[in-house]
Amino acid sequence: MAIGETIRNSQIWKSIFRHPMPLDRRNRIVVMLTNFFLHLHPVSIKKQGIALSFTWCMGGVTFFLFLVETVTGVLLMFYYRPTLEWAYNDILALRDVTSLGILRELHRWGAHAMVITTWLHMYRVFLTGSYKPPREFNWVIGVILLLLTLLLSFTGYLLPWDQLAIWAITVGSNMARATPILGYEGPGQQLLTIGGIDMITDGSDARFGLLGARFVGEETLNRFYVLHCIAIPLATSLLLAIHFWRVRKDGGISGPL
Amino acid sequence: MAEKKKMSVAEILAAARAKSDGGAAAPSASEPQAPSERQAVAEAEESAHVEVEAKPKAKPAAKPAAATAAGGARPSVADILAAARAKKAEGGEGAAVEAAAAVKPKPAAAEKPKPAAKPAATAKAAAASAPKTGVQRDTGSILAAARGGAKPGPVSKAEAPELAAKLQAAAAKPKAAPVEKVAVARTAPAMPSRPAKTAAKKEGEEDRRGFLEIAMGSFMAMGFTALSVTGGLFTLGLARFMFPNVLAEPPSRFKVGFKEGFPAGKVETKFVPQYGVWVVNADFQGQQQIYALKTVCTHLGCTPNWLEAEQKFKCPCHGSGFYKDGVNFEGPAPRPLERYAIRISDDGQLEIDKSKAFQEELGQWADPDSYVTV
Repeated sequence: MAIGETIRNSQIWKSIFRHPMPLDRRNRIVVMLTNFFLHLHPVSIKKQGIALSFTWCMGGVTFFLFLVETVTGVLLMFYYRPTLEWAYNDILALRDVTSLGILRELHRWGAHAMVITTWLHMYRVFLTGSYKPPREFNWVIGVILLLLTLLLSFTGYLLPWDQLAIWAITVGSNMARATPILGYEGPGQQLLTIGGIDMITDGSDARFGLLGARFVGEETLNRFYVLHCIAIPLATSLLLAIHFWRVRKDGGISGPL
Repeated sequence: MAEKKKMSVAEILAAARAKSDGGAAAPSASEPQAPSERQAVAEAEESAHVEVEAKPKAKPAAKPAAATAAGGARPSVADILAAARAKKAEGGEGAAVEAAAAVKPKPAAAEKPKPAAKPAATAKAAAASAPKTGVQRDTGSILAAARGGAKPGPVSKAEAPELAAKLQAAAAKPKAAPVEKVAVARTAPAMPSRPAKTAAKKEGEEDRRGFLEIAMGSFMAMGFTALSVTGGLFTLGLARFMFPNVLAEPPSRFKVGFKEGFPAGKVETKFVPQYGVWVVNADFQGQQQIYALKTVCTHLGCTPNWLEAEQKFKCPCHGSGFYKDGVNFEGPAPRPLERYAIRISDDGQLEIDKSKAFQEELGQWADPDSYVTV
């Protein structure tokens, strides 16, 4: 393999990969330590740690689905406009007019699957006792990630802007009216009354902050679009990094008891 | 002095034994010496067989501990052990009994000269004759005995005299002076004195470095405080940012026309898309009224439809049904629809005010603001 040899000895190759071929133990370790994508992983793990019968690979599948959602979501953003005038039409166009419009379906199926695999992942972690010390904080992060996953689903649900979406968000966001203290129909709402002026009304409560209006409308569509495409994915990415990091720092994937 | 190396307790013990057994024959050059606290031992040992002649007090065996005490250095575990060993051995040889007794409060028994030649035999004899805790050759008991009833842990300087006094009393030696000296040495090591730096600072508190430290400390504190406050305020502002001051919503108070436009029995649905109200002219509890019903299902907030053929409001979400007067009769809705305030304005038109709602289950539909009589 003269060509392969030449490439591997070239300045360009060596500037990217600062280690020889990972043929021996030392270089395999160096690969894990010097590669950005691999360095979150431990240098070595127990064989049982990757046994499918033990891990179900549900965390990995969930992360894979997150990547799928990211890629397909970015592609969908090229066609989708979050306005009353265009939102629903763009969704129809993705199906009827755009080539590979199945990307939208992939996004939707992936979303459903991601919620399911997240639950299964937590189920596995619970069954194997992997939430116990020293991994208890990572469990907390995982719970937050579950909430973010559900919020991603919830905000994405509105974007097609059909009747199902509008009324589902109407019904769903009505729960926020009952938020303690911050919801205008919630317990303790009267606590935030200053000088006889009610600070928490239907125009200033938690639900309003979520919807940007008193009812699901264009402001809501815009807010959910930004939340769905920017804010929640950013928060999720950050927590995912911490989550993976902590898996490594807390002793790696737990082994069978 | 020899090269400085860490010595284990065992090594120290061995060295001490060898020395005391063989008199001054211990090869000090070959003995590894540890820095810091072990150095005291080394000095003591050296002085034990080098400075013996120079010192007026001829207490060779007691030298280690005594020298240490005299020097003001902290006696380490090794010190105590060495002293104990030395004393014991000498006691066996019957020499410097006084010194041994002075060195060890516990080995009061050692006052009696031991005829045994071998150290081991000495130890046994001592153990047999010792009135105090058994004098065994294991390190723990030697240490415990050496410390007497004193607290085994580190002792502050303030505590040291008190402990010494205690030990004195316990020892009850005829020789007061040496006992006192040694007792101080025997007590658990006092806390290290403060570094000279701090002491120096005490005199001139306001030197430049101190000022710099204070200044930089306050700058950091101020900086981080400011950062936290700014962050907090920004978060609050961010929360406020999410609530616009002006809403692009239809006005909450609006006119819908004259009474004559709403014939009896009619449910007017044309205001639903923009304002979210039905204006109904119907009989309610024997009285012909015009009222404005809020188009929000009391179940989960969907918008019901008015079904003219069936003369009912029907919610498409979960099937709740309401009579023309707004009272629920089927489906999951828990209570009747709500009314908005309605009145006849100055120009004679009906005016609806959405800022005020009336709930039937609270008896608010009896409020004259909630309807207009025909």
